[in-house]
Amino acid sequence: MKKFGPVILAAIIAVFTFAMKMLGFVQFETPPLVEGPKIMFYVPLPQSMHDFPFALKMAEGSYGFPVTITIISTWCVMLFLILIFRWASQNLEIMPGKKQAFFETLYAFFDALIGQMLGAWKKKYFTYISTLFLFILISNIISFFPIPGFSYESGLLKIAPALRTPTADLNTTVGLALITTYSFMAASFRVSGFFGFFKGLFEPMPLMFPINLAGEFAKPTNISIRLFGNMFAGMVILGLLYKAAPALIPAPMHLYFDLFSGIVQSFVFIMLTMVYIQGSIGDAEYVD
Amino acid sequence: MDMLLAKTVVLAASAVGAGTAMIAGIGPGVGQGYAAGKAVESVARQPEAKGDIISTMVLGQAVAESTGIYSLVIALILLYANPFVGLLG
Repeated sequence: MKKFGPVILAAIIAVFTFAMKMLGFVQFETPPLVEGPKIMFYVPLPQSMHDFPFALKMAEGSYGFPVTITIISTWCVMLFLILIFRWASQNLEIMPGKKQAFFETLYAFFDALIGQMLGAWKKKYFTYISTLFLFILISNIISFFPIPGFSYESGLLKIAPALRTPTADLNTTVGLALITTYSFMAASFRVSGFFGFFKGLFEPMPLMFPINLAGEFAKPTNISIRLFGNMFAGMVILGLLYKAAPALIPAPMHLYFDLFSGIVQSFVFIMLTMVYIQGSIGDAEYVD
Repeated sequence: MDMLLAKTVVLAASAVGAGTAMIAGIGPGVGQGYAAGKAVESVARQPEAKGDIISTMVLGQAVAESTGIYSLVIALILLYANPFVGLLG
């Protein structure tokens, strides 16, 4: 009996909300078909700074910075990661319990993966790459979990998904790609020097310079557009299904478009990041 | 009336263009299937190298996928952020 407690509770909640929907008090909102990130609120600015970059008009005569749902979702992801790793790194023991064993497996996974790609340079890039993977992973699968958001409007309680996938916004993915670009460019400068890098653009012959330059610019474009395209397309396809069929049919598709695609794309992002860093490092020896 | 006609033509042509752009989905499909088939062959030959083969395969497929993703982005731009309607003035 004790094992079925949560199931019974969930069933009672489901039946209750369904009855409220029938009576017309509650309305379920399915995810929209195509929608840019919504502006949730504004950070107000003084009147004199209205032509500041990115400032928008929020009401008659007052200006502010728009804060979109992407930023709020990103904050939620960061808060989740901070809390869970605070919790995980407490009370470490020599004989690990279940919790510690799980996180040690996670660490061993990153250790093997990054060590296999970067060798001795693992020490330098471990923090960045593992953080990148965890952040993108949680961002991608955030819409798999039914986190409800409530809004009350003229006697009608509206229930809609609270968070939007942060990586289905080009701003997030381009930001992440720029950090990656910085890391492999810095590695390139560190290994071959400032002039060595530009000399590398003229290899194997000077005629190849435009192609090499385009290749350098293609790297960040490639990884950012790939992540954005996959996540956004998944969102659009799920929105289409929600428009076309009752909720029972699109619900299992979240398994593919959110969970599977999210895990594969976050893996691909860090793999490509490591390939680019590896290309910059070449076979240089790691010095502390 | 002329303006309306021009807008209709632009929107219809954009819809056709978005559909045509997605023909590029053929290429990544064929390429990824070929890579997966080769990976299956290699795993059958060398089952102990399964982990390495799978991660290499996923990386190669991700690179092969980029042309498909580019065409998807073009289709999405044509459908939802059409630049040509703005050119009409």
